[in-house]
Amino acid sequence: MNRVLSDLALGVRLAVGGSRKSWVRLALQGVGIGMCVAVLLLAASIPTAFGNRDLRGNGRDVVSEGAGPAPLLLEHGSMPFRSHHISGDYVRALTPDAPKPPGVQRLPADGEIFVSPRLAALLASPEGELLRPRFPQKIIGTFAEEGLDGPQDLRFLAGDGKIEPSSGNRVHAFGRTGPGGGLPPILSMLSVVGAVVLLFPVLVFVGVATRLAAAQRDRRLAALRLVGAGAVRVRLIASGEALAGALVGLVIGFGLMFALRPFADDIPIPELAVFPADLTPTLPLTLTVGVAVPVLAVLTSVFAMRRTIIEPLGVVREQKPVRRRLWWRVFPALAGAALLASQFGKVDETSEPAQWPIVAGVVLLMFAIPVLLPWLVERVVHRMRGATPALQLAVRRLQLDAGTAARVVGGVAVVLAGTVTLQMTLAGVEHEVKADEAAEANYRHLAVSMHEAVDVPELTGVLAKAPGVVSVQELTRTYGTLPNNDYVAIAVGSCAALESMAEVPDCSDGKAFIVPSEKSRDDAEAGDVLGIEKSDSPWTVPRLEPSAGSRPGLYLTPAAARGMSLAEATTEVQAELDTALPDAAEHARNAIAFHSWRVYSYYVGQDDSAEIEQVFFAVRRALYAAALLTLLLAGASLLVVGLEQVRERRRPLAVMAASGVPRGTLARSLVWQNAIPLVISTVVSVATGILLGVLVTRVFDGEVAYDWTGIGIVTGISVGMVVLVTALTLPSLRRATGALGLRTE
Amino acid sequence: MSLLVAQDLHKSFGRTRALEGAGLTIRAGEIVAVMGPSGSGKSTLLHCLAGILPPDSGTVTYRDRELTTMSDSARSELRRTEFGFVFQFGQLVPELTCLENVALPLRLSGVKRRDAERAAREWMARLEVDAVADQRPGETSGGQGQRVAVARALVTGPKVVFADEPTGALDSLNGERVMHLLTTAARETGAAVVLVTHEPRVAAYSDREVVVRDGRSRDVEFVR
Repeated sequence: MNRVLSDLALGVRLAVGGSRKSWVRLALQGVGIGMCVAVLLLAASIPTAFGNRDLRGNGRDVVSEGAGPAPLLLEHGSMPFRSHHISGDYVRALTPDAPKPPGVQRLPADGEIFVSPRLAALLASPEGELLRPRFPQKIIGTFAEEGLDGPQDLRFLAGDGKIEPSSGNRVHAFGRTGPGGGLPPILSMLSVVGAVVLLFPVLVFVGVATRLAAAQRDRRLAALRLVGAGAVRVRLIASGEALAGALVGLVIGFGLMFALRPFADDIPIPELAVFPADLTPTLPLTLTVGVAVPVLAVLTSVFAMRRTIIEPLGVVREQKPVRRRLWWRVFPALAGAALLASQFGKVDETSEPAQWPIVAGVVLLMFAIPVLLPWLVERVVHRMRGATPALQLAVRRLQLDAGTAARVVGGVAVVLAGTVTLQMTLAGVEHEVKADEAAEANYRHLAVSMHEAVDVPELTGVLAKAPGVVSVQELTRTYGTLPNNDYVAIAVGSCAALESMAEVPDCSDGKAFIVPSEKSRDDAEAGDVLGIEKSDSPWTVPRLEPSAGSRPGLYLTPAAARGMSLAEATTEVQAELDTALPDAAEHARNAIAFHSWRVYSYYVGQDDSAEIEQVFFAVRRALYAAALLTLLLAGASLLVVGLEQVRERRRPLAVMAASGVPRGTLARSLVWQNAIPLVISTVVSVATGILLGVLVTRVFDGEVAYDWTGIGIVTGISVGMVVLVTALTLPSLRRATGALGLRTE
Repeated sequence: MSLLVAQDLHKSFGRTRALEGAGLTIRAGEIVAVMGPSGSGKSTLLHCLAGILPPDSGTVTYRDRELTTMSDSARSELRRTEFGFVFQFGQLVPELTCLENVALPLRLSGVKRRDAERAAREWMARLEVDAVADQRPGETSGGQGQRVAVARALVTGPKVVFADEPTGALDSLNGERVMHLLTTAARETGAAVVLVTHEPRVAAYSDREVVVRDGRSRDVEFVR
């Protein structure tokens, strides 16, 4: 064991010693691996981030049972404001030692309020002017982290001396123990897929880095063999060099991770924003990354040298022509596609996905890319002849060794395919959300539900006088149970009241309408006998006229609802709003704000497209940044290979230049040499990405949408990178083709 | 006493026949110059003698051990412990300092760093290159580099030192100095030296000359 460690240490010593080239190689390797490590550590932090979120959520949960009278009364309040969702609690302490929720120093008295930092900022901003009437209380402090789910939370805790004891508002303590929700299955699945996808570039980069300055390394290894190091030991020493790169990469990765961490609370999406302190990788996952990356580096290095014979007089590489067979290479693609196809439509919002077939399907399809590429690149270049001398030089070079180039771009292709898949999934979700928005935008009414203590005529009167309110109608709402035990929403009201929620043409008392529910759910039909909520008497559905509206369900005029027991039904007030007045809904909400937690309003017709655009823009920007980062890594790999090829072929290049081959021809041959594998890999990765996007969208039963702009941008960056890499290789080519290139030593 | 015996060695590289029945006997402590024109097979003979290249046929026996049937690891160990090498150029590890290069064979044998470097320093002083101990090979002159290589070849106390054109890349003055130090040190330690050269001036340091021509060796009938 000591000998193994000492040989690895010697390898590390060789990696860090020596010329500027050694340092450049080590730095390149370290930065590449470091970027991957940083992303892996971020992924490893997801369980902690969501776990802590759950823990804090549990800490706020109320304990409603206990000995003696409850010391605290609490009512939950939820308050939409434009696209924001503000929530909080109204409390009334009955004893001096009443429990306080986490995150605040004390309980607020009547007229006092604690707000989250984000809500405080919103209230202080010009946008918050319209919100301030809803928070007339005196702000006495802000929540500490333990009182919030995340940094973007809009939360409050207000004192309300008018809360009266009722069956559901007694609090004996805060904090529930027990398991939290944990990571949502879909997120955990995505983390696994993300980690697998990210490991490919790590493998590729380490493999490429072992080929960097190969000629120099060969001399070194031969010298070691000459002084008596055995073949296995020399491989181990060479692996030590890869280990050095991995260790530098780990340091850079941890540094990057902790440098990026403070920005976690700037993420504009509340569900994704986390406190920097929460972004701490779990110990087992940190150890896994810390051990797996160096081990992977050593194994990859050993694997990369499997055909290399190191002898005391030099190094030879077995160049036996490898016959690449297609049959096993298509197997991962077919198996992956079949696994995903078997899950079509099985995942929706209400069901948990069977994770392994989806994860395995995605991973297999991703894995298919680097497996298929060497075969494909080889086939393509073997069919090419080369119309120009430059193309011919490149083609002949690739025909000799297309495998290396294919491997280099293979890792990148995986990430590109992943990016395209994510772009498509994103485009699909965006498309659906925007369609929902468009559907809702036809209706502009504020639905207000209320506590039983609220005086409905008074509320209706106040609402009718609010600016922007055209009319106010009362609706009675209840639920019916279908014969198959599904629920259907029922609204009973005058034609004018129904009109605010659905299209009810030629409405007259006695008519019944149905707004169909989403696909895969059954609807009520005429003649169905429904059970009515909190009622023992069944009700038979009359003849229904199809309708369109903002919320699915039955819309009944009073005569059509005859026979239905509505004694326990809830009353809802519908305020129709003037489309010409901006923020009419917020003005109406402000008018009834004095009821605080006793009313809840829901606005159908809110135009959230700007907000949605912002969220999708943020996600897309992050995606482009990640893709760009990975492409840079790929560019670095390509550059390494390009420089190395120029170095190794210095003499033949110099001979060609000396015998009159123009440098431009040699430069163009370099462009072709980089471009051919990259174009093939881009085509394959875009195609696989689209296929995977379609399959994944089908699994989630969504609508397939193509983000051609995004795909175009990523492809454009790839092409630009080839040009850039070639441009960076040219100085080296110029040196190699100069007079000094003909020197042997 | 015969230390290293090669008999009827044949070696081809593709269609090129490098050795065709060459043979040689090296006795303990003697310095033998292997001479011959370019392409005669003298370097191939040296590589076969040292166990670097396996001959196609024939035998190489070192202290009654047959080299041609030894495993790679056994031959590696032999090179590490019993043999030393000085080549024309390129055998020093450029990333390591000269001191580390000289200490390398000892460290590969498991000697502790401090002990290995102490022995290395002593040899570097004997070969008058202790001034470049902390420099890398690329920072030294050609003569210094070769003397560092000689120090590395001798640091393990080898029984045979194989030197392939050790002065080939040096000017005559530096070549003389390297040869003087190499042969003196070898005689002091009792190591045999197999010296491949085409320069009579270098061969003059040997006890005996063997001429290789067309892959066959022939002892020259005189001993200095």
